Amino acid sequence: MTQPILVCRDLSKRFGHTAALWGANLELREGGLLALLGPSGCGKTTLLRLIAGFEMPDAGEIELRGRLISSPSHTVPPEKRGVSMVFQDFALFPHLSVGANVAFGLPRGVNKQARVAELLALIRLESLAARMPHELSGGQQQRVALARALASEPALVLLDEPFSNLDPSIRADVRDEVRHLLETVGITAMIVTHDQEEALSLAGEVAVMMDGEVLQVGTPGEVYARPVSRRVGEFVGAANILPGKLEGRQVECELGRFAVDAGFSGLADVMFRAETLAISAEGGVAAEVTDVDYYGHDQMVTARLRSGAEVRLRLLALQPYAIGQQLTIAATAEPLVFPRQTPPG
Amino acid sequence: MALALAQARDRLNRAPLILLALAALVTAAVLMPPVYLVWRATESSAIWEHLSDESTLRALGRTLLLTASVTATCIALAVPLAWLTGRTDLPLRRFWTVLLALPLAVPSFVGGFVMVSALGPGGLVQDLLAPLGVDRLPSIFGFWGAWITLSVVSYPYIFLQVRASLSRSDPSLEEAARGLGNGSWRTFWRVNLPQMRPPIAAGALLVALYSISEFGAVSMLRYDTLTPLVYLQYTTSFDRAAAAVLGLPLIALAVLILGLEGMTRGRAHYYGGAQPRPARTMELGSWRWPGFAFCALVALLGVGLPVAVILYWLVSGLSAEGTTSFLAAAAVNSTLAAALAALAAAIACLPVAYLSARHAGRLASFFEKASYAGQSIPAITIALALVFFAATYATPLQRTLGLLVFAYTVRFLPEALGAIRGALLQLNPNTEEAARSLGAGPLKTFARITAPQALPGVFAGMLLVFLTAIKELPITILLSPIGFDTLATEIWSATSEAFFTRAALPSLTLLLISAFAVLIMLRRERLT
Repeated sequence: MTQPILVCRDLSKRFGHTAALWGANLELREGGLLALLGPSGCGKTTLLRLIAGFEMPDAGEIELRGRLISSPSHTVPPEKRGVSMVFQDFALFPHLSVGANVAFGLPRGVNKQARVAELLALIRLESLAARMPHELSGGQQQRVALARALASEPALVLLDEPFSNLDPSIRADVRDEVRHLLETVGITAMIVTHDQEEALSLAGEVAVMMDGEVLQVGTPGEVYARPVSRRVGEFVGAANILPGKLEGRQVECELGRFAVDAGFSGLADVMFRAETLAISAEGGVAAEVTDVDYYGHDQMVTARLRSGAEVRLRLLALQPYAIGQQLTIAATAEPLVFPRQTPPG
Repeated sequence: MALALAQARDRLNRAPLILLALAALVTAAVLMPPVYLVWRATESSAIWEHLSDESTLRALGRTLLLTASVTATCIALAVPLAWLTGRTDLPLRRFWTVLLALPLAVPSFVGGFVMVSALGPGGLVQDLLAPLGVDRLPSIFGFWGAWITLSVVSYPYIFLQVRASLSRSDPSLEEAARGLGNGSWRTFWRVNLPQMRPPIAAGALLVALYSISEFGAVSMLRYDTLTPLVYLQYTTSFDRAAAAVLGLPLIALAVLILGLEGMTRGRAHYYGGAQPRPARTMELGSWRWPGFAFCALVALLGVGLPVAVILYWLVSGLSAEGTTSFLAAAAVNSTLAAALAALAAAIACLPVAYLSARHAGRLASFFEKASYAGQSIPAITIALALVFFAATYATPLQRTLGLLVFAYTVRFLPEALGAIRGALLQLNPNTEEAARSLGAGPLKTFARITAPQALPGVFAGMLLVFLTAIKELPITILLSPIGFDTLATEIWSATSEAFFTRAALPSLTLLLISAFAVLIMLRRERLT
């Protein structure tokens, strides 16, 4: 295991009476790509701005390559950190050409022309060096912003919701391209996003953030399959929660009795991912279809169980379902269990 | 939302101390003249005697009467004109929009000159009618002349505000009202008119402030409101405190009008549509030609008359010698003083504009509002305060170009402030942070990212200050260095002495310069 390149320790930051960060901890490995995932207002952008040096923490510290760059009493200004940022709106300098944008951060003594040409080749925009930013498409602007951030070979690149300003039809392509680019260059990068699919598909590691705290860090698979809490689980993907009861290594709920590995006993929230529920020919519980959202490649079918609880099933769109239709439902995988929470409100 | 507000507050707390100090300094300089004048007035042993003097009360009455009638007349002219050119199928709408905005380019004292030299004794009309045996005309002097002159040169303030709001407003509101079963006229009264209230109030505020501080035209037309009285008191008496006392009601009126405007704005907040669509045009039908004639009549009075009268005097004065060399010196002086004022105003308003655009908060907003004081405080009181101040504390500054430029700066700072603040607000702050994260320090970021992006706005602000300072009269008369003749003082002295031919060329020059300013403004508002 390599030494972490970035360490954030117990960071807190309030704006007036509002706490944006509340003891956040995070580590980043050299060369890794981490997605910071959380709902809007969870403090992820504040954490990014603290790392970039645009805000100062009220408590805690940040180290980059073993050097203290931020603490309440000591702060290295943004321009001396070697951390560059790609903004949500790309923030290309509107009065400078594409080439001049990319060259902006290059230190004196570097052969600027050669380096700019090299970077533009990397993003496949060699021919557009003389264009002005407003003459580019959204995807092209995005690539220029990234090339500009990579130009001076920073220790770390931060990307703040980099895909949210792009047309949905090209988002997936641009995402793949950005990941490929970051891997080619071999740079350490951190991407802030509120989009689960984006975080899971893009990053080597996902950090889930809520209410100013980092709740879980892990590979996309770990975060999706083994969330540390019901809230993390519900945020990361479509989930059905049914009340249940744990006895020994068994949990019982309306969908049946399942073997689970839990460190507690008693009342439990039992979580089934929507894709782990299926229509069953032999055995299962009865349910009635109450809603269908059809997506083409698949569909989300909502069904009411006998108790009145509703569950959602992600099914292939091979067969249409009608509201009112009777089904038999069974779980195809073991559920996750969490200690019972009283629902908020 | 709460977080965003808190973040904004946090940003203010981190506003660089030097920026706050500079903004405070500028605000103090702007507030100094009126505050100093009030203070000087309190030194007078006979404040109440001066204030309650019959001549003061009469002048106050005239000021109120003139301000009220000019403001009302301007609303009555401007609202139908704006509607006709903005929302109907009137022929030549664009042409009328430009032409009807152009009277804004006529400085009031040029308007006064036109009036006096056309209809006054020894004027154009009398010249023309003399062969017919007419040797007396109804007098142009007094209320009627001042009222007509001021109304014709100031209605465009309201016209432009209403016209701009009409072209911004969302037609879906009207469509909704029609969809709810309201007819064309009911929609106008219930939706369009209330929507026009804020721009009418904003424009009327400008007209009212303009009317109370008006000096040149009322002096030429011999309607003795407060400003000529202050001037007379200053030039003919040694009791300077008395002149200061007479400035008090002027300042009080300005404050009162600002307060009134705040009340008439109403509580509603109107939003423009996300995607502005061209609004529905009203079909005038048989009203088409009366509407056309109305536009033509106002344009004839506002643009045709001044141009014709000035050209008449220009042609009849062409034989006179020495006019052009004299004019060249005056033009150079005017240009110099106005250019210096533009530069000073742009530099002075930078810290205030930057603070309000980047570190918005209560303090920044106070600095910004206070910097607008110069626009509402009558120019003659600013001039008087500086005359007194220099005479008491800084005698070497008396009658210097520096003091003149300072006065212009105080007076016209708001124009530069509006333009520069707008430019900074349009500038994406992320580009500044991006520059920082790419290794540029605060100074390099300002020089290479902030300044180049803000430059067009700064130039626009400077141009506005230049174009308004060059046609300023009372400050110029009271503070110009001895022998420093400008276009404005030329017109002033020539008209006072009834040398109408001598006033023609400087008037035409000023008219052309101001017309240029108005065309730029129209372009910025995208009305043409």
